[in-house]
Formats: sequence, structure tokens, C-alpha cells
Amino acid sequence: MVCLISFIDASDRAVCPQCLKDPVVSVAAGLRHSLAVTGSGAVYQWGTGLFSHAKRALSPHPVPSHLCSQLPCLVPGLDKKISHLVAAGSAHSVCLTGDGDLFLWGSNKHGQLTTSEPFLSSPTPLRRSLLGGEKVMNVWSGWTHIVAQTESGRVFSWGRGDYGQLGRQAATTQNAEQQSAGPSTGSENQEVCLPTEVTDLRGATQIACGSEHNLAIVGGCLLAWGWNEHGMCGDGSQTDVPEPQLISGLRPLLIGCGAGHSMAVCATTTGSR
Amino acid sequence: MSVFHDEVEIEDFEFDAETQMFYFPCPCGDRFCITKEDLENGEEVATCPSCSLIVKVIYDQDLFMSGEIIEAPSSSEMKLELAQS
Repeated sequence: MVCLISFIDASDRAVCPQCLKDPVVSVAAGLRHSLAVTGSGAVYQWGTGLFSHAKRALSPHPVPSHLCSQLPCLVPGLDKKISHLVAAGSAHSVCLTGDGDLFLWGSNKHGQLTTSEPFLSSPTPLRRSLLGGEKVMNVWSGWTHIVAQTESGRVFSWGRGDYGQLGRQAATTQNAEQQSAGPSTGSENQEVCLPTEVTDLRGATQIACGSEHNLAIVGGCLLAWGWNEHGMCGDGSQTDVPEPQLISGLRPLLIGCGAGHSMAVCATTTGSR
Repeated sequence: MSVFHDEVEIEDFEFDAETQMFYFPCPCGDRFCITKEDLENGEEVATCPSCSLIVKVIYDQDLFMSGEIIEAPSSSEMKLELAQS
């Protein structure tokens, strides 16, 4: 999703936070929280966007400081991991370690954390078996869905899919037996959404997530899927696109998504040469 | 039939005292909004001016009313207006 990462001081100038002493190698921003990874592989989070979610989920227990800090706060539970990359949803966080493991925390309102808990305050590993047993090489996040690519180039998606964000048929609630809490009895009956491969995206060289739509470059072709109310999927319609769909006639070099718009830097189209 | 894009707690909205409106980001880049007055009247649907998307506002109407700071009527005109309504 869009990164708007900055610290604004009283005079509206961007300032450099003193607490991030190491060079930063990856940043991400959610609606109201931000993430950064330093060169040493430590993950920092700040912004109060997850505070109210955490408060509601954890009450009467206190909200951990990394979920409500005004300044970058070391995310606990990743001490022995070297992180390389972060991604942020509207109210969740993702980090990818050098070992190729994904850790997820924050709001699980749409099953994007692949757990039955409504909220996870600490980074929780995604079992590698859910991604074909492979290492993850890259990860992207929309507001409430996540896309990851493994070492063999396979692409998996999970989380919210009601606008076609997942690029595949949304699977119904599955694998209830893996829920640690056993049969759900309360009102917090969380739908579990497990990663599923989007075969059309195998070998994608670039992927970008908007809030509820996505772009990808596969085999030099530009594909789009998901929410399309504002024409973000580039097919001239306003109808949501449930599976990756070719935007023909373009030779994409670089893609990017805003919340409700898409952009692609392209080489001169073949037709005009 | 209306399908809510999401259900959002009132505490997650931002309140603008000038417009007396509550705002929450919409996935399109604009903002869902609902007036304080609407909330006081029990309305619970926040709309986006740029989108078809709508969200349901989760709040307690009674609590919402009681948490409000009501200025004492300063003029007799106000009293008259209240009596008439």
C-alpha cells in the first residue's frame, strides 16, 4: 500500500527520528501506523493506529508499547530473527526474515493473519507448510489482504477477498481443526483464511497492492485484479476483477498502486513502433 | 441492499470540530464521513463522497449523547426554539 512515512515536527518539517540510529533498509505505512527495518534486521513500529484495536482485543490487559508509541519502538518477539522487509495493512503488520519466514501481527478482522484470534499483539510466524513448504522471498499488503511470493516464484494470497483482491476464488472457512482455541463459542467467531496459490501469477517479477486492488508484471505483461470501482484495474470498466486480468498493449517496467489508483511506467508500446 | 465495506468503532473516527463531522479513511483515498447530528439522531451509516462504499459506525447512542458537552442556553430565543420544536 501507499507509503507516507514521515515525522512532522511543530513547524511541519519532516524530521529524522533520533531513536533509529541504524540505517533503515525497509519501511512501510498502514493507515495510522508505520514500520521500519534497520540494517541489523531489527523491526520498529510506531503510530497509534493499532491502539484501539489492541485495547478492545486485549482488555483488561494493557496494550504493549510497540502498538501505541509515538516514536519508533522495537517490536518484541523477533530478537533472534534478522528481518529484511516490512509491509503494512490498514491495521496489521508483516515482516519477512532473512530465513524466508513471515511474521504477522495486528488486526485479524478479515482473517489476514491466518489465525482464529481477532488480534495478535506480537509477531506470529506463518507456518511454512501453508506456502508449499517454501521460503518467502517477497511480500506485499493491501489494507486487509496479503500477497507473498516464494523462492520458486509461486504467489500466494490470503485475507479479505470480497472485491476480488485475492485474485482467486475465495475459499470458504477451512481447516477449523488447526484453531488452537477449539470450537469457537463466543461472538468472536473469526473466519480463518489460509494462503492459496494464484497460479496465474507464478513467476511474477513485480507485484503492487493498492487498498483493495493489485497489479503484477508476469512474463512482461501487466495484470490487474481486485476492486475496480474507480477503474484501477485498467479495463475501462468499473466492475471488480476476480482474477488477474491482462491490461493489453503495454510493456510495463515499473508498477505502483495508490489506495484507489494504479500507475505503470511502460516502454514504448509495440503498436506504436 | 446495502453491504457495508466495514464496521468501524466511533473511537477510530477523527472528529473535526469545525465541520462537526466524523471522518474515517476510505479505500479510494477519500474519507467516509458522518455528521455529529446524524449520530445523535441514531444514524449509523457513514458515506464516502467519492465512492459507493459505506461503513457502519459502531457506537452507543445513549453514551454518545451523554458524553456530549452541552452549552447552557444563553438567550431566550434558544428557549423559545426548543419549546417550539
